[in-house]
Amino acid sequence: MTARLFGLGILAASLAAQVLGPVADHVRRGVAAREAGRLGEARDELEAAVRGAPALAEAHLYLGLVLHESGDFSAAVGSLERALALKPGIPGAGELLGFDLLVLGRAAEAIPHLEGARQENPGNWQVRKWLGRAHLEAGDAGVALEHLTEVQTAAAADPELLYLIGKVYSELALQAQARLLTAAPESPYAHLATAEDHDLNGRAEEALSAYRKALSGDQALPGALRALGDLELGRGRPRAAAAAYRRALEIQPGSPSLHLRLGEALLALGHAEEALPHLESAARADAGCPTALEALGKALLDLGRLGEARAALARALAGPVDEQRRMKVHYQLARVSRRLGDTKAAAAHLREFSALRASLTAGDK
Amino acid sequence: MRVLVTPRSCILPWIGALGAGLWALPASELQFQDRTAMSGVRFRHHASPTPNKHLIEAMGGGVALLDFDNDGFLDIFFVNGGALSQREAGLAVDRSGPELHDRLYRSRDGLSFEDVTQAVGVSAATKGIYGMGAATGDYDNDGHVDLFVTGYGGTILYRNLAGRAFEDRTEAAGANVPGWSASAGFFDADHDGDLDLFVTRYLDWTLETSRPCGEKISVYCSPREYPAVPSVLLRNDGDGTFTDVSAEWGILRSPGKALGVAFNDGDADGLPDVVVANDSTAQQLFLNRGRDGFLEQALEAGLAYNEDGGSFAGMGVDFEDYDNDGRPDVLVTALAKELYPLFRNEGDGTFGYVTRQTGLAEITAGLSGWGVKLADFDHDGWKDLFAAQSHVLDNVGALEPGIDYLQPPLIALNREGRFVDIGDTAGAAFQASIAGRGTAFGDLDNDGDVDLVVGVLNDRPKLLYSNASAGGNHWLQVRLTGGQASARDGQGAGVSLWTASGGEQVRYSTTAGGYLSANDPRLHFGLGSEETVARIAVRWPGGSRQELTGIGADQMVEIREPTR
Repeated sequence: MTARLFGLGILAASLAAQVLGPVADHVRRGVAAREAGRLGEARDELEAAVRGAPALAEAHLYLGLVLHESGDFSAAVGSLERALALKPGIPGAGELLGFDLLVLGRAAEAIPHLEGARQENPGNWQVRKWLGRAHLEAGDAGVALEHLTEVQTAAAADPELLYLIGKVYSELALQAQARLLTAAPESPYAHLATAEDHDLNGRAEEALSAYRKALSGDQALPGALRALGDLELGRGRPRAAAAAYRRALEIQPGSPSLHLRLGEALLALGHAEEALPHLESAARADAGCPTALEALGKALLDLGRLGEARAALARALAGPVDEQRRMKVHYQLARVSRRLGDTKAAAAHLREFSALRASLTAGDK
Repeated sequence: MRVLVTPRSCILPWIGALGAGLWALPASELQFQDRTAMSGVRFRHHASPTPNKHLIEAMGGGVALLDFDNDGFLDIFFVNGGALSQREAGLAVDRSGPELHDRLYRSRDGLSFEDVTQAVGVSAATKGIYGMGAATGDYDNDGHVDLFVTGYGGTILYRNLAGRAFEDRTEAAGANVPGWSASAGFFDADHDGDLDLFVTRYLDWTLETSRPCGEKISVYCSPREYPAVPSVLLRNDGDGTFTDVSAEWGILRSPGKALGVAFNDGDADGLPDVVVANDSTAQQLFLNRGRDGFLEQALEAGLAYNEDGGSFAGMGVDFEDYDNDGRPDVLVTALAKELYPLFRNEGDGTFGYVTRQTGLAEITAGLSGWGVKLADFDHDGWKDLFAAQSHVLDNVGALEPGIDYLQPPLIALNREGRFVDIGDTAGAAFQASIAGRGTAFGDLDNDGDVDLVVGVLNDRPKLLYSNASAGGNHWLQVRLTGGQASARDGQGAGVSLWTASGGEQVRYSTTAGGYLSANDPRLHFGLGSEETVARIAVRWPGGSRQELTGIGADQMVEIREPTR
């Protein structure tokens, strides 16, 4: 399998054809042992073969393959380098050596070998992937991205490729941010980048401070306003959150998510009437959004518009909702039904609620 | 019928001088003065925390305001925690050191106090109970308020011997409640004229099953780690003894993780209902069905969970009418990010969650509350909110940056149904962060307003005196004395008051409510600018009705139940 992966499928036959006598016996036994999965025995036989025919590049290469398969990458690198020294351009050696060097963390050394392998076999997406990885590890994320995106179509679902692409973008982002912080440390965008980093890492107070600094330099950063609002809302300060969302909406008046957020902040303040148009707008923009519909139902319930509240909540249940939200919405529906005097419906929703709650809190004593 | 109307000048001869000297503040500026240092109260709560994070160490303790010697001034009883010592049989509660005793302070004049613990025999030094809370009521109807103490490892019932001493009647009266009890309250559940006793229990937790929780940092375990237990209802048999009727009266079948309890007539059927604050599980509403006992209906009534169907850490609870619609509402204190849920009584057997609509969501989002009371602190006719606060986890800051362990108390004024936090202007006590726990409310200095005593975990309490009576708003206090048909101390009576301009306020006579604590039995009403109360109606638990008309403001009115 590995031999095929590295284009070494015919190596054993090629090697056997070049040796005679005792060396040939070692080669034959070594190949047989490797194919039977007895890698230790194969290594011993091939080392004996190499001692018998030290100038035979294929023997070193085959030993390198066995060492690679044994996980002894350092030793494999030695054998492969000897093979290449004896026969530059010997097929498969550069690719395998590049990979093993990469595994050993010697990315810069791996790159020329992998580049050679790519030229030798341009259709091999694995080599491009390793090249991408090597360039990433060698600190050149830009070149890495070129290689990795080239093979995205050929290996769209390869987990390592997807991971590496994410990693490259992350590295590029970090590099760009570092350049930003060096070039314009007091610019709004530098503060915004700092804020987002704090935010991602759960440092809410620091994030708030940095968002405010960003906004003091440029009041028209809707992303900063939105994030500021989210942080304020999460920390139980709906008034400040609403102010931030309002400012963001002035810049992006059509944003459904901003309407939803502002509506939720106003609801938290107990201002259902003011929240209602925003929640209606959010629900209109994304007709099946359960979050918007649930909040809309809550606002309508606050305002005593019970029939409409029930309809909105029922719509929230109609879409794909997780169990947690389903539980919440059933509870809301029970509240609305009670207020409507529909005790039968209220009891039914409470039963649904209780069953979901029991399943979601099953671990509690 | 006997009605005593005590003019202010008779009962408060010194109030004028005091008002001029200390409380000359505008009516709009409600303030509380911390007089702990000059009060003579030296009590310090001892939870004796250990690295093992035993849950009991985080939860105490309570405070009771009671006039045990009937001299007209409220005395203060503090429940202490205890220490844990290793014995042969395992860990045990130690209360032997004087610093670990419960303490009773007798009021000399409303402002200064003397420690009478040893003299009256309420130290609990030999009981082996890790103290939690206190309840007050005249269970034997002898005219002297008795005392009940809860805790881990048992309870204590003290009978008041004519104001001279207390006698431990726990075993003789059948009033020992095993396990870990928290808040308790006396109330006449069956309207037979004597006070029964509701005792909440927190968890099925013992020192043997105790353990710390947390991965990186050792913390007190969540109550979710321990099973629920039922609260206990003790029926007063009228002969000085109690019988556990939890099973017969429907309490046993609804276990919870109870910390707070409050009484009122939630469904207006004339019988006292019970609201229980449970920690991290559904809240409870035990509706009194008379001969059929109690029926737990919180889920059906909309009181069990917050508006999203989520549970919260219910700790303290009050059952009072915040919106002056004549129906008692329910306020519960909880942990940070859970808000303090306020449930409005809709009058149809259900409660609506109105935390957001009343401004409480914004005020309480980052707060963690324990002792709580809806009372008209500024005398404008609307019940305001006080909460003693602190998170339960002493190292919460390391786990959740931005959440504080120590927090100042909350004081929020009720502006016609919407609350406004006035902590910034209400006095230094509202800027100082403490580990507030049980709090008792009452008129310590008999000047007509509501003072408070805040119990502080592992620290000295706070005696906070209100200046409201020195402002322009008027007030009225009502002291009830039951006759043969009702409990002697008037608990269980409903009082409605109408001012001359037609405003109505309703109160229910109880010393229970809040967290681990017992309040002034006198009923307090703020009257705003009204100088006269047009009418007061009393509905006695014994069945009789009584009315008074044309009562002047700014006095304490004593009303006795009519004899049949």
